[in-house]
Amino acid sequence: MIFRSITSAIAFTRVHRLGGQVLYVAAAAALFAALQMHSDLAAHALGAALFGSLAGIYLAMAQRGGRMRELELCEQSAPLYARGVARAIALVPSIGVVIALAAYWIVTGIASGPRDVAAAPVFLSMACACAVSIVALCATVRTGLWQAVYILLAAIVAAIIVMLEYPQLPAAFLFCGIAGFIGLRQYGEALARWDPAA
Amino acid sequence: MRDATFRRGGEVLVRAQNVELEEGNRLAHACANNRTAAIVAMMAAGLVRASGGAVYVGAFDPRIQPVHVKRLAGYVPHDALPHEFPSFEQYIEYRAALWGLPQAESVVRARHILAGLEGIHESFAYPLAGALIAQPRLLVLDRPQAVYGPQIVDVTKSSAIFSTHGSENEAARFANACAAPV
Repeated sequence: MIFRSITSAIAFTRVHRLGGQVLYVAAAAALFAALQMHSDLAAHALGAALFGSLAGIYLAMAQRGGRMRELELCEQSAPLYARGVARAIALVPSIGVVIALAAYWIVTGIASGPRDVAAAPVFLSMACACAVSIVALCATVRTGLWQAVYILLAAIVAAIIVMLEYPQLPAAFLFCGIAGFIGLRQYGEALARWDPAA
Repeated sequence: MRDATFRRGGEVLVRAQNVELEEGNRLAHACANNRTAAIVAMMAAGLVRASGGAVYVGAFDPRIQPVHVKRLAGYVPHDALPHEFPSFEQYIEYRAALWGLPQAESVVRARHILAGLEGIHESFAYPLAGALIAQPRLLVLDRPQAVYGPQIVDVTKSSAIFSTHGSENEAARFANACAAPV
């Protein structure tokens, strides 16, 4: 395996280590889609956005400590700028939720029929889950009350996107982009100040 | 390090540390306990910023230029578990990518270093080989075992070696093993 960039090295290694959890989340997404087989497109869109957001928060929280501890120490001891590391780490839960939501929509397409699948809800659910997981990443470099606040903030972002989805689809996409961008900036800043002695 | 301290939430985790290490020299530094030893090692490698006092690695202050410090220092943690990588080669390729080194060359260099670390447990040998592929001018070791001392000195060549230990006894044993002052 030859890594072409720092981003690919960090993202691939973390995704590889998280492989089992991504598969479990994808399987759960598929099961959730199967349970929703009698629902309409609106219910699928809501279910996908909310399940994807939950999965995003879970996969984001798995980026710190535990089996990631050794990778954290490697990344922290390498001569890298925090914003680059933040971008690479942000890719990991995003890849995870895209895989999970792909499983969700494939099962929806098979179980409920193609009329319950449309491009806009598919892409919006993925954009929503990615934005939420990036905001949730900010919680991984904080502890105690602030960690809880960032998880709550991620949940609020998901709720706002779901509320915007039907009346204002472009606004929902725009909000995903803004939340993801601000979340990534915040995460990069926090990662630069974070110390692994925690 | 001059009066370097580390605090977390009002609690002083590392009391004032005064350490000076010249280029190419070795120093085994005794700390009050294992936690302090781990934090002092991270402070020396630029991973953790001192709460008080001053730390300079070369001419760089880790609080202002952490990236420059990390280019100079190689850090080997006490509790790394690199065997979770599918192979030693993949671990080295990963590290080489992070340090911006040519990956194939780094694997060859790492295999050569690893050959010199025969008999050392892979949980220490792999991160040490990984740290040395970047040819750091300062090698920071968090609580290394004294029995590994002579081999560490052999493979490190001209780099300065700074090791932290959880007690005076451990520091003295490591210092004796690799002819370093305490």
